[in-house]
Amino acid sequence: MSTVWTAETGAAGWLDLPDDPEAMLDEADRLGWGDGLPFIPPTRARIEWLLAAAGIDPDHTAGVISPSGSQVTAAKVAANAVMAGCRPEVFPVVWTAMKAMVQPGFNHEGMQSTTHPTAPLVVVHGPIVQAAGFNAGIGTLGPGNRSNASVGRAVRLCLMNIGHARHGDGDYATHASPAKYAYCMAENSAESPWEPYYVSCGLDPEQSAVTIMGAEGPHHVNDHVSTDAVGVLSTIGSMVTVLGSNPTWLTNSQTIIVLGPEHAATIAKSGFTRRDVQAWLYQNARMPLSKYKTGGMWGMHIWPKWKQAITDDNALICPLDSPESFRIMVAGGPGKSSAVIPGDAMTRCWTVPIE
Amino acid sequence: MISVYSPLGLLPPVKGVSLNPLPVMSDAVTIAILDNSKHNFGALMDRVAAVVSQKYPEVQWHIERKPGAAHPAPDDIRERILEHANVVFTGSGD
Repeated sequence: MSTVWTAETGAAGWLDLPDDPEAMLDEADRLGWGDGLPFIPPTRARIEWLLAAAGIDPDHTAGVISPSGSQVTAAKVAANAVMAGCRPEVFPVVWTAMKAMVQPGFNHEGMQSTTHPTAPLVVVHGPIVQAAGFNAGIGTLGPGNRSNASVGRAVRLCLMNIGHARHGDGDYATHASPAKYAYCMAENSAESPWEPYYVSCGLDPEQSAVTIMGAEGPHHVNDHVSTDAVGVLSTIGSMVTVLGSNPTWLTNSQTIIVLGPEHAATIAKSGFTRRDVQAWLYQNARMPLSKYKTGGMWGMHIWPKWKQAITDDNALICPLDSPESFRIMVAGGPGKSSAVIPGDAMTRCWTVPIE
Repeated sequence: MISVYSPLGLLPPVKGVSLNPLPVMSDAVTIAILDNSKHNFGALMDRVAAVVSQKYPEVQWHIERKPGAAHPAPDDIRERILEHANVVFTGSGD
């Protein structure tokens, strides 16, 4: 392996930290590292352990990250992944997510600097979910699983540390959100009534994948009563037709609908496919134009020409531009709950293979 | 003590930029306004333009508006500004 990274000096190179965990955390705070929480020291051995398991050269670069303009090298990503508590088997997920985010077209630049509370949601798909111990079931978006937690945290640490985006200094999120600590879940293909989401995107079932999208935190959907697809989707749709989310105002947005397995089963029992779900939401999750005009971004909205041409105040318009803008996944455990995760409308929802 | 690798990105070298000198205010000056599409940017620039025009009535104006605030200005807008204007007024953020 190349040894360029091992010779780096200065604030971005090698340095000595106190052994004592509390003194180490104090020093890291002073240096401007991290998310304020304790971390695993990024030693050479630990970094090489992650890189060797993934077969990645430490000086290999994914691209340039904003606002720092720094190269996103595998060594830097691994250092942040070590800090987050990543085991080697999950490192390919972190590396794939970072590679995707710094590609032109994803627009991580907007996500890093905005006043919006957006955080990159990482969804893990395919064989790696089980192989690397991700939690796709009960509590998939919450704490308690090291793979989910460490991957989500590693991505955030990379954005903060490699990207030099900290609150008030590069990152201007008004409130931010807890999702900016760690935001990682896994698709529950085993309990989905349809083909897995990543397979519906054209990937091979045997190929593990990552979906990445800058997003709001999850909006809970509680429906204990509905016994058919229309009932459940009506409740879900009510969480889509909102004036405070970016997809309502900015064209080419995506929203992820995370169906709990029970809701997915109810919907499928009505004979709905994934495409039926998308079509139903697009046709029925709508508000009249008059309601949009009362919203806080009316006048600075960016709509496609066909939407701009609508002048009838009674015309019902979906916040999203197409059925395909609804991205339907199954995750979570037992319970009559689902989640609506609006995208930030600055980034795209991409699904990429883990190579 | 324990030796660790900094997680911070290595900052690229700062390249000096030679800024064009500000134009002498004259008949030939065109000021471009690049509206970042955020709310009230147009209202702010209207006031700025009014103040500038009061003092320099010969100034010409060239107005452009970005299609969205979250992305850089597209190449065609930048090219028109370069073609028509001597200086640009714009803004970043809300």
